[in-house]
Amino acid sequence: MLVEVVKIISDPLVVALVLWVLGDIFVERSGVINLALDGIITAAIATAFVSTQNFGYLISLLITVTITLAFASLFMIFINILHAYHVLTGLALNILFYGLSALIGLRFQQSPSITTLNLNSLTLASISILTVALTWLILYKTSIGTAIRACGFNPRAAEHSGVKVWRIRFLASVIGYIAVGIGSYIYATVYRGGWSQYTGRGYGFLAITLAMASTWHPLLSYPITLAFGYLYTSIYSLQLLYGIPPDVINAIPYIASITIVTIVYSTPLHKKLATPRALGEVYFREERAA
Amino acid sequence: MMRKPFIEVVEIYKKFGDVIALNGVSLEIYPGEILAVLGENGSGKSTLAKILYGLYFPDKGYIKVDDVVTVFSSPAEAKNRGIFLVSQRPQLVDDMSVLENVALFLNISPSRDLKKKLEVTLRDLGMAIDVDRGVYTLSYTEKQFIDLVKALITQPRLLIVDEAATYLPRELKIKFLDIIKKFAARGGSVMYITHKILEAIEMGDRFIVLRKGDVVGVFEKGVDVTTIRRAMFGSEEYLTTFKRSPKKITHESFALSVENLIVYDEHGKPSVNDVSLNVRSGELISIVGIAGNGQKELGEAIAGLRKAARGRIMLNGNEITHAPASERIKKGLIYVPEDPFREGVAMGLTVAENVKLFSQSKVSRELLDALIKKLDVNPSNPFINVAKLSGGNIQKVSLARLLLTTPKVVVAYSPTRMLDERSKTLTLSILQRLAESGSAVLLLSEDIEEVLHISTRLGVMVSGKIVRFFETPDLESCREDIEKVMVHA
Amino acid sequence: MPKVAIVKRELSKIATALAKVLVILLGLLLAATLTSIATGNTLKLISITLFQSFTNLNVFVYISTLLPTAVGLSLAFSANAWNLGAEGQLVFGAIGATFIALFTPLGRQEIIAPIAALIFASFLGALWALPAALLKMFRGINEALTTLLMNFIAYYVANYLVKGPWRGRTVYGYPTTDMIPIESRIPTAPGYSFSWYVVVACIAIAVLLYLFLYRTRVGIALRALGSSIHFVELSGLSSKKLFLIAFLISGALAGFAGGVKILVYHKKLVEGPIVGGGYGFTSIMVSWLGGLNPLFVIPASYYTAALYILSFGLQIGSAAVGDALSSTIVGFLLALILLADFLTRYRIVIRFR
Repeated sequence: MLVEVVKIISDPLVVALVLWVLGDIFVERSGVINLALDGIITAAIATAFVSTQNFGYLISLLITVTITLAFASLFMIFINILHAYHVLTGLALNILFYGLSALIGLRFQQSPSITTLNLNSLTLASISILTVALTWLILYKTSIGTAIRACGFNPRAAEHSGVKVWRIRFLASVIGYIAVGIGSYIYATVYRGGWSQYTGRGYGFLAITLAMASTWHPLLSYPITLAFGYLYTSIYSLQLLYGIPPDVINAIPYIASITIVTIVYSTPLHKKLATPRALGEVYFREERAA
Repeated sequence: MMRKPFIEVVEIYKKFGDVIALNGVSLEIYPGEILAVLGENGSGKSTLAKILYGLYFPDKGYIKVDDVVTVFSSPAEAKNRGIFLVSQRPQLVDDMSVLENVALFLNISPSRDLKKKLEVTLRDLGMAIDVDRGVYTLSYTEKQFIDLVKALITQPRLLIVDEAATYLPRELKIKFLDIIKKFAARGGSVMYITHKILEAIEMGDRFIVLRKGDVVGVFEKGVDVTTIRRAMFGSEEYLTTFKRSPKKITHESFALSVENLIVYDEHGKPSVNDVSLNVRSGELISIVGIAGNGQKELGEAIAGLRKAARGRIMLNGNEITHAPASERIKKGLIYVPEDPFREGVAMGLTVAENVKLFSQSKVSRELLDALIKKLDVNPSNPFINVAKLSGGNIQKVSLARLLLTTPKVVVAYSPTRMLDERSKTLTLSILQRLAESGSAVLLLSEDIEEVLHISTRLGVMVSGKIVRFFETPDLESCREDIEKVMVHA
Repeated sequence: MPKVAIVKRELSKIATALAKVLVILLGLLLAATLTSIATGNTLKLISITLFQSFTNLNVFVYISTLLPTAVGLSLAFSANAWNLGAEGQLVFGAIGATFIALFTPLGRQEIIAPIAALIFASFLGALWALPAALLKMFRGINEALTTLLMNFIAYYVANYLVKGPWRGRTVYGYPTTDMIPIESRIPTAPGYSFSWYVVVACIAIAVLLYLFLYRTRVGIALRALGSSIHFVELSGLSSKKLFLIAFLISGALAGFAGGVKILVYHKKLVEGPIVGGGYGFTSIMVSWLGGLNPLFVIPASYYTAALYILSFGLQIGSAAVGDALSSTIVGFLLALILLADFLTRYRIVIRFR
């Protein structure tokens, strides 16, 4: 049992997933539906892969995070300045980012694989646990975190208290997408070590679902993501053991994540925890209200 | 007074769509002065407050603070200049604690030091509030005071008070206004916005009257009520004379009855707590209370917009406790919501389309025009988007639902909050006429003025309970008693 | 320091439409320029390709898929039902049509076969939309997310079928079913792979749904649902029922489009991502480009269809690069639509004092 847990905690795919979920929590806690996450992860993975191939591991990490933040900023411009519908923006930008990911990969790829980066279990486990702790600290113990959560609860009241909502949402996405960038880097260099067109597509949506299942609480998100990770990594052995068709196996994560959300939202638990009520609300300061 | 003004407002102009909210307004406020700003609903008072606090950006004009010309593009900027706005609805984040809200306002982390400081401040003001409590657990008045206190901690230079005390009962109001007066006495500036003339005269050192976005009068201390009233309403004759119609109960049975109703709010707190009441056809019953004492939730529960946790709701003898709102409407209940923008109309639709939805049967062009005329909707073109109308006119469109049929039961919650005096009178007389023609009318309100003159019976709601009913032909004489009950359960 | 603020503006309908068209044209120009730089083709060549794309009758191939799907979605989005699962619903429609055509005796009945196949396709499309609608209605789970995830599941279901139980006997190991019988195919225009019957039907659907949304009480209520649930309830119409109607109609129309793809274009079931082809996603933007008005969705789908042809015309180098490039350009143009939307509804005010 303990061995299993250690294995899951230090599984590079699970670590990447944890970082994506936490990154998403930052963004959605500020009230923004983060559908663009999927496209940005896809593009970040391609970036991490080709820049590792061209410039080595360390510089690649820097480049990946930088590019991730650039894409996230574009997303935030649409949300905060253009006042576009969150869902719509996420969808449009996803198509753009999928395309860009492939262009980046195809243009700069030198061979279809790289030597995976060797990180030991302890390092990997520490990365995810530290990020969980840090996320919780920032969100619940700092003035920035207070402002981020306020924007997710009630942007109007937050603005009235002197918070510049657009700026805080921007900031939340910067913090969150640093985690997303690092997660994508780990996925590309530590876990996958290879790239083909659209590698990583779909993980973003899974991460968003897991964040929702954890009611956007970082401490709750960790066990939920681990449980999902366990399922995810073990289904492939099911395939070998019982000869279940791969397409059925591939569908399981999506079915599982919908199931997990349904279970959590069928218990009274999610009502007890304060969730970002204003999630997805296009916030326009001069909106008329009684 | 040869001192320099703290703030000068110069030629501020603001338009929403086709509606001019402020038409070149100028004024100045001196240190230590309470400037009362008067005007009807829709005169532009609140827009002015929001511009001064950076919530709205003016189309033209500017503000001069300490001789520096500026406009604010966010409340954060206004706050940095020592300006703060307390509005009618407390602007706190309900899901966070009092401490977190104050930390948010001060832009610091919610630390233990802050907690101590805050506790001391609250104790000095005679308020015993656990600062770790979620704001949603506080009453409306507590929230209102917290909003004021958090502003005072930063030692602001200008306090804008926008109808924040208007609907507080006397005793609490005195306490609230006292804090503001003390603030001015120590050299702070106050912009006191209200539509109640007596209240303004009590508070103000100087008076400015707005009408339809224009400054129509500036008065010094000592001005009388009539002068201000004439400025506020112009030549329009304004005299609300309601005659309470003698009770004409057509049926002995109850059209609407509520039995032991319990309703929870979004946070699981009981906002309606064991309420029972009955309304007969032909009766107009009012329930009044300080905002946040459950009137809104009671109305929404009767309408079906909110779940009833326990108890029964009966419409003409049929149980509707768990029926969806749409079913209740079909069965002859009509609910008039307070917020016209989010509930009263669909903002994306035209006036005609909105009215069409109110009616189960076809609405002819003649009927449409007649309704618009009767409600005095301006502009009268039914094919423009409702979003183009002013708040008051949107509310009038929402009221069209009352004129399409003779409903069995009408429930209205603060239906006149957005309306100017003329439309207010019109609305109340519509409700009264409906009662006379056999509807059972339940009017829920925060404004004692609104209900005092037309109700046949009046209940007072405190903390989710109806604590007392008043039933005399002369409710006006009970006014003080009613206010007392509103404050003390 | 200059002060910047964003305030609302109210443009007339004509001005709004003009502004959108202008931004879209600018976008095309920009896209053409960028492609010219990326591919090394002259701008002139690209302009010719551009013109040819808009005059090519093959636009109807894409319109046949995009128009019904996007019209259904405009209904859903008007009602604030964020159905992002048209792709999966389309795939399920394709599965449904294939089932009728290949595995039931109806498949060999002339005229009856395509009609039955399309009805069943619509039914399966609606059915695939149902879980997300129910989860939203009874558990409050964000429907945008669940519908998105359902797309992936639909892909894998189709993949499983064509590689497993439905794999054709005559397809030499390719992951497809057998061809559907001649009787169940819809006759195409000579030399093209679209059917005039379908095109007419699609336009009729758009007109009908326009009349429904703008002329009937239920339709108006659906649009009102986008502004306020409480308002609709207080007008005596069940918001839950309306939400479900909107969701199911959009699912059914996506399923219909999927059925059309099988009966007219593929003539057999192929792997999920190929059947879907991303049209379900593109349709979302088509419906917004058309301002959620079924009548305006017609030109919007024409424009988008031409873009598809354009992107194939530009496919130079490997298929992979071509696909990446067209995805980038489509994404870019979709983003421009959002920009156009902003420019027509808001304006930026900059003041220097």
